[in-house]
Amino acid sequence: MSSENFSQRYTEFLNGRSPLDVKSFYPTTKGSHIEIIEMVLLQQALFLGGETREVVFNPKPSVNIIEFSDMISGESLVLARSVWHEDIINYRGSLYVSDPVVKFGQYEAGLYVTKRNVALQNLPQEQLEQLTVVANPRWRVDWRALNNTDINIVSFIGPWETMLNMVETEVVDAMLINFSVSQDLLLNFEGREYVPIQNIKMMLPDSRHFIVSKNHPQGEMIFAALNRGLKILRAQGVLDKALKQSGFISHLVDDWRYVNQQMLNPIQGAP
Amino acid sequence: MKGLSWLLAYWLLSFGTWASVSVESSSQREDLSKMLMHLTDSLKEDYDLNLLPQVRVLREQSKQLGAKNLQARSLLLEGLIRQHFGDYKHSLVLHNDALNIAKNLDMPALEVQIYLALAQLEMDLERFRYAQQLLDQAYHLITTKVLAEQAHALMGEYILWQGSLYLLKGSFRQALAMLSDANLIEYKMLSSKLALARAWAYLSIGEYQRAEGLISSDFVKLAELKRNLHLRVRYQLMSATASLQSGDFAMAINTAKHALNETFGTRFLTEQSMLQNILAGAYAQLGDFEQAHLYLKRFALSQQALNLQKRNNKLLQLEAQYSLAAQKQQLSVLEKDNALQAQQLVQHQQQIDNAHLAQQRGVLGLLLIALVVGFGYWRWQNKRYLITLKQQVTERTAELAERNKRLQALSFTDSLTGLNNRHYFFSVIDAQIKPDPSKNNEKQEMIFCLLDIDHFKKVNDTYGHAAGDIVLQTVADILKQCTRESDLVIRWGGEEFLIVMPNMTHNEAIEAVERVRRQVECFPFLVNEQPIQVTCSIGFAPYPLTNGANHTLSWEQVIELADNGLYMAKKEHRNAWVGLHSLNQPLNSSIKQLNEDYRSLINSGQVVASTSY
Repeated sequence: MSSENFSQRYTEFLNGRSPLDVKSFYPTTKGSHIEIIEMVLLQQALFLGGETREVVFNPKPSVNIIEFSDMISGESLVLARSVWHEDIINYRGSLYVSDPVVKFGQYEAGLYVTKRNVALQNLPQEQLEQLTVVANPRWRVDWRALNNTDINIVSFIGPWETMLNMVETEVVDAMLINFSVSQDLLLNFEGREYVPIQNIKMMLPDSRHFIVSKNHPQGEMIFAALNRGLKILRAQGVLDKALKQSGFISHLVDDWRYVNQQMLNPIQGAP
Repeated sequence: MKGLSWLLAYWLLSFGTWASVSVESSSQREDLSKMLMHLTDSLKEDYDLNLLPQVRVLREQSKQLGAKNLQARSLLLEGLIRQHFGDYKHSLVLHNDALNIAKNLDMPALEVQIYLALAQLEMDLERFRYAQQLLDQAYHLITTKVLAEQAHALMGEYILWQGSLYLLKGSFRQALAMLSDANLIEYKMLSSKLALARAWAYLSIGEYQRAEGLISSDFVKLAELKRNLHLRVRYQLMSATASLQSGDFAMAINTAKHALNETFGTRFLTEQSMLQNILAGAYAQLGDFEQAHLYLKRFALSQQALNLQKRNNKLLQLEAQYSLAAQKQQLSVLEKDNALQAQQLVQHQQQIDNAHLAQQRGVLGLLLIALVVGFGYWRWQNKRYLITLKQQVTERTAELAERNKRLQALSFTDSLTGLNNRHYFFSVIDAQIKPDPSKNNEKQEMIFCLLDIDHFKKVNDTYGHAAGDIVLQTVADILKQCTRESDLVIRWGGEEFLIVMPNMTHNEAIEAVERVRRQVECFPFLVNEQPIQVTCSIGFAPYPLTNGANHTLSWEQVIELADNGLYMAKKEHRNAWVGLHSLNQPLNSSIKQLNEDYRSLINSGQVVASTSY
């Protein structure tokens, strides 16, 4: 967890408060906010679930031969952030998978284009086949979402910034990005501005969960506490509030149309 | 008759031959159909390369027999086998050939099978959008054209491949909806394949219990698994995955290893890589990192091989796209060319039409211009002619007038002296004597004066007529000089001149007459360079003149009186003049009498006159 300076920004966000006292989840630091919020939510859930001990975060490099190997081996107990379900299905034998933090169909993203490209911003859904989007095939959920539309995909494995630069330089038209927290959904990255194609949103077809090691001696207990706490947080509406306030779920796009609606609600039975 | 019987025999013979051929061909067809059935069944078990020679024999024979139906099916079979071994290019060609035949023969069921085969091919090439289009076409044909008894089986196939496409695209909920339990029950023939596909969908979303339930259910037929290696391997893959997800690592390893052994030396690279991945995952979670690492390496190698295959396929795809694009470009160039040519043709036609029209217009215009010009010319000529005519008329008129004038002048002029003649005098005298009302003064009276050259005959006789003429001309000149503008000088005849002097009193007349007499007398006449003496005698009388009885004399009478005076002057003197002043008493005697008695009348005082002598 050393990338993107999460630890430092986490401390900045708390600003001396206990994570259990956080009631407002509006972003106050620069950069991706959901990771910080998840750290807070995890602790609140554990606390509510009966685990009152203080949580200690151990930053670890996120790249390993087998993902989550620390968790699998039991060296780590809980992952500080949520993961896509499909990334851990083959490790379910070693990992406890919590109730979803982000439910299936809750995760929405926009197709961001450069702000100067006014024509693209108003591209009607029927003309999506003209659009070319850059995507990383390792981000399997994004990849699947895009593959179930008429959009043309340019595969790219590399830094996020380079992908954005591909949009900037018009190598591609757009990129799939979480809706921005700002009021006009504008994404400002290093002085360059990007906006989503209007009235179009994409559902990322998976759920996100916290994971707890099964091989850790306290795994079972902690997992039970976590799930209890998460149920309470969901019942209190804290989970949804946190996702909304952090900008993860944007009410601005409530009435926008999904381009991959069929992945959420397929026609049942024979065609 | 003989010829006719021969013909009959020949006809019978040929009919017999045809009949035997037809029987033979129908039995051959039957054989081929059986062969096709057998091959199709074998193919359902496995795509065996050893089937290819038979398939080709079938195709050749059916081609020779003209059995298009069988030919198309054999094409499809070969295409399917080739496709399975990665020869996408040729299988595409074969499928398309088969499709052409099927379309021509109107065999929708076969068409559906070909569309489904093509859809599989596109799925192998990861061209999901095209695969979806082909599946849509297949579905449309099944629901609209295919007969009911064939439609059911084809619909099952369609559901299987549509479900598979959803799985490949990662739309697992759609896959589950398509490969529903109801469909598994409905399409029993395909239930194993459908169930395995559905199980894969469950495993993709981590619902391993459901997957386990499915693969151990009756939907998956063990007999079928026994026959079909590919199906069996897939079954084991599902089982191993389910075991892995459930945390039964030993079972997962066991099943996966077994499956891997079965696939050893086979072409199921995808399944192999997945099994290796399962093994790596299972060993890692068991803490056996050595084994995990080993299988991870193998997995990486398989993945590499798969990627290579994919890359080749993509390359193929790109090439195909490129050649298609090139073709399209060529086509569009040709189309453009055609369009251009058509346009040019149209333009040419238009040009020709325009030229035609222009020509017509030109001709019309020329005609019009010619007409206008002609008309104008005609008018102009006409006008000119008229003008010329008018001019001529004017000229002629003027000429005529001039001639008339000249004629008149000639007729009024004495050619020798240039003086007016008697005609002239007669033509103007009436106007002359008419009293002018505007001039009411004393000098109303005028003088009629007659002059005669003395001894003129003698001049003519002595010097010749030419000399006489010179004398006459000279006298005339003297008269012109000695008279006023308003006076009339007339050559009265022979050597006699008449001078009419208006507005003149008797005394003034005396002066004038005297002047003339003296001029003539003094003028140095030269005849044949000899000076000669010429004199003249003059008589004059006033007008108006009344006799005693208030009777006004006419101008003729006045001239007669003047002539009387001349006569008297000649008779009594020559180179002299006699001028009548008035008549003192009533003159009863006639003019003739006056002439003779002029002297006596003067002397008696009845006539008042003056003389120069």
